[in-house]
Amino acid sequence: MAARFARRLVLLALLWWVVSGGGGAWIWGLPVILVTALAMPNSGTARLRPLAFLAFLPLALWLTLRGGLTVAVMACRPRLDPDTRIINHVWSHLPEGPGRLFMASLINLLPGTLTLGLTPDTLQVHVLQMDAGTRSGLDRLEARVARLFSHDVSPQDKEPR
Amino acid sequence: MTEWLSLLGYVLITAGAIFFITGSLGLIRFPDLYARLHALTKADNLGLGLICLGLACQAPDLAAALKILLVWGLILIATSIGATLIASTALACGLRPRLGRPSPPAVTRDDTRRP
Amino acid sequence: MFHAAIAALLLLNAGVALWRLHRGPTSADRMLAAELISVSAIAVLLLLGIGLAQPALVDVALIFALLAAVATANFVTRTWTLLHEESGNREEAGRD
Repeated sequence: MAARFARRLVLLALLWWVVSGGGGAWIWGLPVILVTALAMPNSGTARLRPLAFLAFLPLALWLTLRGGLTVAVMACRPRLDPDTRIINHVWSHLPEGPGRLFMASLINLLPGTLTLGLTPDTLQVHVLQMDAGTRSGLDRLEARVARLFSHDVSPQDKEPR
Repeated sequence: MTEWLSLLGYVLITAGAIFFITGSLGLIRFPDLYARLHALTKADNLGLGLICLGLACQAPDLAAALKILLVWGLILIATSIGATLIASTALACGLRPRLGRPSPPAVTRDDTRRP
Repeated sequence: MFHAAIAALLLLNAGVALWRLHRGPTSADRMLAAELISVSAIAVLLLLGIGLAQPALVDVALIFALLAAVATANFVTRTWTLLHEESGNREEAGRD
């Protein structure tokens, strides 16, 4: 509890430092930070492991870059005939909760996938250009996100490299 | 050092502008709402991201650079969650996505595969 | 100079989105066009903020970014569902 509060204070102080343009006006900043840290509701992101998140960022940025590139190339092609499908991805690693929401919104930035809906059993995904790697890619991503939220991934379905 | 960073910034900003243009090309050319959502969330976010990175390289100090990246982070969260909101609402309103290859019309219907 | 030129390019690009705003078969397509224009506006503000050394413009861009989330959520929860109740058939018929 105390550790979480301290983490919040550090994060909010960093945010204030950035927003105020290099640490001016701490007289206003300190009360605002304190009140916000006390009034902030508990969200699921508290389960997120900060170091694992930092390690995850490069992968997320790389996938975002590839996602933008594929859609840009597709938009520039003279003939448009995307092989569009709707697939249902069955949850296998992530339990109900913030991890699923995180994955559902992350999918929107990845190459060729868009979340259509979230049900207790499956994730409905709109795939712009279906290919062989789409399903295994989703499985791998789910295992990564599950580890990010410190859920155990049983050894037989660890991500295949 | 600073000259190199600022040069890198110019390259990144130019690349970002190109992604913006392809994003709106996709917005105009893609056949249905869902495909347009793909174009907008991916290409434009990447375009804004590259422009923000480039500008952060040219920012006068670290706090200003981080503030520009904060703008990108906010937009990233807003558009990626907004894309799912729009897509699921469109589906609930009964807007059917266009599936399969349009050229042979025989295969367009049976494509909702279930595992 | 460079920043202003890129900003002008992005403004032109956002002008292209007006075509989708005018034509867009469903109101969600119009929302997408509006979103493209608002993201372009943020990029233009940031470019001018750095190019003209006006840090206040970056703060304006920050506020725009905060409002973008609210705009989409508002559109989905209120506007579109209302439109759907009133004229659900028109949206279905109007798509290409």
